[in-house]
Amino acid sequence: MNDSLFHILLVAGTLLLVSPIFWAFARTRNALQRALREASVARDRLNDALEGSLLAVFDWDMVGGSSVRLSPTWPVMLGGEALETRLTAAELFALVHPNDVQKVRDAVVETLKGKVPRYDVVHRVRRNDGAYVWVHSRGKVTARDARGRATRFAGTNADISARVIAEERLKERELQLRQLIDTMPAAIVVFGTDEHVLFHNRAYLELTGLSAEAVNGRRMSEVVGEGVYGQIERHLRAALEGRTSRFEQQVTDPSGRTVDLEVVYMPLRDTQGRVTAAITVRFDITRLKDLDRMKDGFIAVASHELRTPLTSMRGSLGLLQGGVAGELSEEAQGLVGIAMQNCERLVRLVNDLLGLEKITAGHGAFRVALLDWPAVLEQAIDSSRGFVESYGVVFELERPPGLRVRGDEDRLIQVLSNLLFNAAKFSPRGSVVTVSARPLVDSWVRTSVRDRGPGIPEHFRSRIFQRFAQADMGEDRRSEGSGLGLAISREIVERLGGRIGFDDAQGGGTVFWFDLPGTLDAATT
Amino acid sequence: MTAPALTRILLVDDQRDIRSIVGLALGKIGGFKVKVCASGAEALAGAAEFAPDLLLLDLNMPEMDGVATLRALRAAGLASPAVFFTARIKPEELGRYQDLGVLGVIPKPFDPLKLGAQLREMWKARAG
Repeated sequence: MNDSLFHILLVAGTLLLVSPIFWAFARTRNALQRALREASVARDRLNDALEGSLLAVFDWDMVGGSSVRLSPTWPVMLGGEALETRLTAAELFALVHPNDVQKVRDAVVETLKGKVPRYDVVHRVRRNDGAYVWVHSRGKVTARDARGRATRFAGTNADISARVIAEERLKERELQLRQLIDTMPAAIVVFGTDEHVLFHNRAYLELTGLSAEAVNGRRMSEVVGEGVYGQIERHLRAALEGRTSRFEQQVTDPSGRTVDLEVVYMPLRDTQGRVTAAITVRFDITRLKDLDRMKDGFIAVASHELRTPLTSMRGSLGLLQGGVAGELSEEAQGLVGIAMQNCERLVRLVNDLLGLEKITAGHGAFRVALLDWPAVLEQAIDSSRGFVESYGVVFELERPPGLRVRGDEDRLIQVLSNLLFNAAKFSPRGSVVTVSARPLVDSWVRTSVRDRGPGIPEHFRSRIFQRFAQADMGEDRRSEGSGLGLAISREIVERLGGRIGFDDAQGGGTVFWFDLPGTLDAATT
Repeated sequence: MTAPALTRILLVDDQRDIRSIVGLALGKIGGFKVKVCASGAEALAGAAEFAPDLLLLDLNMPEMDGVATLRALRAAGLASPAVFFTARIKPEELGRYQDLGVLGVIPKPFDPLKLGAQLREMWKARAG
């Protein structure tokens, strides 16, 4: 009995004593299992993340031999299956591109010695298929022994091949672009909103004789000098405010040669359309200008040389007509008349050619004044009367008094004469050509010459203001003009800031008009 | 001052054609007494003796041009008013030659039948 009780007590006691231990053991085991499970999930997640980000982790335990533990993303990076693996440091180094080995070795040694806080190097690693991938390798010493020697070294390798290839392509593209821009026969400078130079090409250095150091990153005012800056400042500002401007400039290049330039200032915009910089491009137009000057000189000489014999021919014919050599027979009169008319036509052609060249070349200054417009119209009609009467047309002048027009009197009489000549030429005999002027809005004045002719053929309308454009009117009428009248008229009106055009007139015929700035005298309104 | 009538005209032009045309136009048609000279030097030699009322000078001549000839004639004491015979200068540019007593410009090519009348008009405008 005592024995059995003792046993019972012993068992119960033991049970009492052990059960908490057993219970605690069970709890610990569960926790451990849970922790292991969680760690596994975390590791999977980490591996997923690593794989997604192309990060390959290495962990080099320097104490237990020279084994480096590598994450499953490592073999993936090298073109294989995802699995956790180990390599020796020597095996790892063997994968590094021969040209990068020294760089990597140096970086590792410096990090291990503690000379640099982090290992950070870009290098190539050989893939399983023999190709190389670019990796950005970063790491640090994660443990040191009591004597400070590194015992663990861990970090990541990121595959940056795509980026490096893109960058290399970009660099190549940039190099090509650079060469293209450098070989362009135009001097280019790009400057930022603070007016500092961001970019320039070789042609700019050749043109200015400046060194790259004297241009790069410097303020435009510093590059070109204060004097020149004063001339270009408004164009430069305009470009930075989003406006393009274009002008011609004459400069002396480093060799002392005079160079004609066409200069363009243009804004550069970002994808949102904001002006982020501006570009100025200078084209050397010296050869064009030289040709232009040659052409002007040639025309001046040619027209003088043509005029001299024409003067003699016209003079002689005039004297014959005047009866100096005796009375001419009717037939002789007719023939002399033909010779005379053609002489005059040649003279007009030469004069018009020379006149047009002068106007288009910007020579022959315009004397602009506020003109008593009715008086000018009357004068133009008077001086045209001779040839107009030969066409059997009558002029009619309609104008409000007190109208003034801003322009060059002689040139505008030339314009009016051309319009009157055309109107007379294309009008039926006995019809009326109406000349009128009226004020438009903003103090502009419209002057019109209206004929009762057949109107302008559809196919001729677009080129009527071109040089040597003549409507197909049959040989007799063609021969009377130079084909330059309207071209000259347009040049003159446009040089005076006006515009010229034509409309079909109501009731038949055509209205040629030109608009110029002017006024209507307050006293007479 | 009452101006004498315009009767004697001295023409200086290096071109033979022009000399004969102007000679006929002014002489035979215009009824003037005309002396023609082929150069400035010739004009200088003969001007005083001819005593012209008016000088008609071509501007564009080799050696001595029209302006140089006129200056030389003035320096030699000839005061007759002058007219330039050229396409090169425009009437409004004449101010430059005001001190030389230039009345006007006859542009080339010219109408020989009207030349006499044009010169008479300039002559009259000056007198008036």
